[in-house]
Amino acid sequence: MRDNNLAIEVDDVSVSFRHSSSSLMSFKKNTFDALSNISIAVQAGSRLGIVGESGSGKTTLAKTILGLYQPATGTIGFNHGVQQNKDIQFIFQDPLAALNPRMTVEQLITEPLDYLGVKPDHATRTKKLKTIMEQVGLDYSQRQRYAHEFSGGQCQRIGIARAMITEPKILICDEPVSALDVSVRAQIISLLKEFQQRLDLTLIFIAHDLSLVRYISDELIVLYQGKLMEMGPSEEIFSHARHPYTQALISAEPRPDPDTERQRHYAEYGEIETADTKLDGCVYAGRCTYAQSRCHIEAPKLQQVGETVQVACFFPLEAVTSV
Amino acid sequence: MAEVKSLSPGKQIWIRLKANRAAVTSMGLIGLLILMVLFAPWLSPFNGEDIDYEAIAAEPSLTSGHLFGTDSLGRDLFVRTMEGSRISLAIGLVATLVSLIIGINYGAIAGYFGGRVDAVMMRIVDILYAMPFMFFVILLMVFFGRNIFLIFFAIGAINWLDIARIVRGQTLAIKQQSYVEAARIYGASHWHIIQRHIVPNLLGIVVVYITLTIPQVILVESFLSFLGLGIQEPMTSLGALVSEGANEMESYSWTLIFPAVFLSIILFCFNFIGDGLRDALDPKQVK
Repeated sequence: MRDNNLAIEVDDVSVSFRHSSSSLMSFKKNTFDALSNISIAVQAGSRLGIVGESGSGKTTLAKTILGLYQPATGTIGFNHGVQQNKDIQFIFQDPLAALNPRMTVEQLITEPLDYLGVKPDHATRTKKLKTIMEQVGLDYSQRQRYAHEFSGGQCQRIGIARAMITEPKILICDEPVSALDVSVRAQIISLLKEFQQRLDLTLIFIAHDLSLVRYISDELIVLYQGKLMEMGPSEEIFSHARHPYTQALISAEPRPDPDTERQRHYAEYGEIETADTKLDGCVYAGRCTYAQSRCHIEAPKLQQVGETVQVACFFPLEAVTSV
Repeated sequence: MAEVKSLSPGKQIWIRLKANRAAVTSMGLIGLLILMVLFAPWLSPFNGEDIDYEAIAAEPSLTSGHLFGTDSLGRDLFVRTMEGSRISLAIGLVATLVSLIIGINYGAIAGYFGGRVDAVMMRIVDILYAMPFMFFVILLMVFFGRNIFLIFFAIGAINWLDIARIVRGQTLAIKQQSYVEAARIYGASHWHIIQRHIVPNLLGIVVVYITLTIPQVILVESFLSFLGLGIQEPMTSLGALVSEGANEMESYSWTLIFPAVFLSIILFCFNFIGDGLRDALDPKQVK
């Protein structure tokens, strides 16, 4: 039974990477689980935020949804009619690197149109280009320029235009503003939000900046070492972080006020464990200040806590308010 | 607001290249030389095959019309040098082109697909590398007779190995770029990605390599001709001329000097152009 309102259904997906040792003599192949047993259901038209520290699998999850990585186990289902190439688009972290330096803006933006099955004629192309350039706030007269002639913010607008020209249903943004100047971040974010609202896009938003995620997303998932830690409505999670890891993440976020910054207490933040020394217990147990003996023996499963939140912890914190 | 003229990466490279005096001079010289080898023989009253019985092994002189003198058979050396340069340049260009076409495709495919495809393709290159070049050419000559197209082929077939390696290395780097990933996300086929995103971004390095390969090819041909394996009479090349001249240099020094000077100029110019291009393409250089 598939809920018709679901845009993406990720069911028990694991992704592992092989790193074979480089020596010719040994054929030892190690696998590294970038994602393990992730199940999420994304409602159509919702804005899902994905948070977690570096290496937690955020980007891997996004790229698996895009079809760039094949899941080792599990399936990814889309609402009927969604085609991976046409209806899911991606916004890159580094806007300039995502644009071919030898192509003009016009070529860059209209290139995805060539792969939709039917090639649009010249007039349609020009019309679409003009419309989309206006919508993202680029000057149509600059269409013959090259990407390196634009600022980072403008490059990201080109990236957004390229993603939106195919009129996708799902948009995945992988830290779309972290490479940008603080002054243009807000513009790009509001542009993305505008598209999301106008086209009723399903948005997946990956970011380090928690206040940004809080602002843009209505659903939130927290990843740690490829595992789901906490999942639920973002306001609920930000105000009552139940998982110790989520709490640590939120407490580690800098505050814009130097006085509070000086006085505040950070949640205890232990050393990260490498995936090679992984044991049976909870992946976070080694760093967790609340860990008890059970946490080292057995991995917690996602469990319902409260009405809307699911937490993978044996001892979810009770109503810890964010700082 | 004033309209700012857009500078494509190509134009910027051109501006930087123009600032390099040695490269610009070299380009001018090569251009002049190409015009000369194409048209100058017509201006001379002599042709490269006929023997002037009144001027056998004559010194260069303006009055007789033998500007570079004649060789020991009485053939006009000016016309022969021009014809030889023409053949040498043609071999340089054609053999480089042949090796480029094979090398770029081979290297880009190996690099792009990677893994097992790459391993097998590059081991083939390694095996071909190990084959002794001279042995290969001598065998070809023995089996198929001496033929100018065979020389094009033989030299091109050896040189593509280098290009394939360079292109493969570059492709490995380029395919990691996010714009290649972006193309995969919006559904571009492998062929489109190679054609639109990888090969255009290889061009910089390839252009440099072309200008450095042409002189190398000319030198290889000269070497073959010097050994008597290259161009056959009555056709000639700079290598063949230098070879003949070297035998007679004690008595008729001009038969060595003129072809040798032309050969050196061509090699120098291409190397300077290559150097200039390499500097101009270096992204770390300040604009």
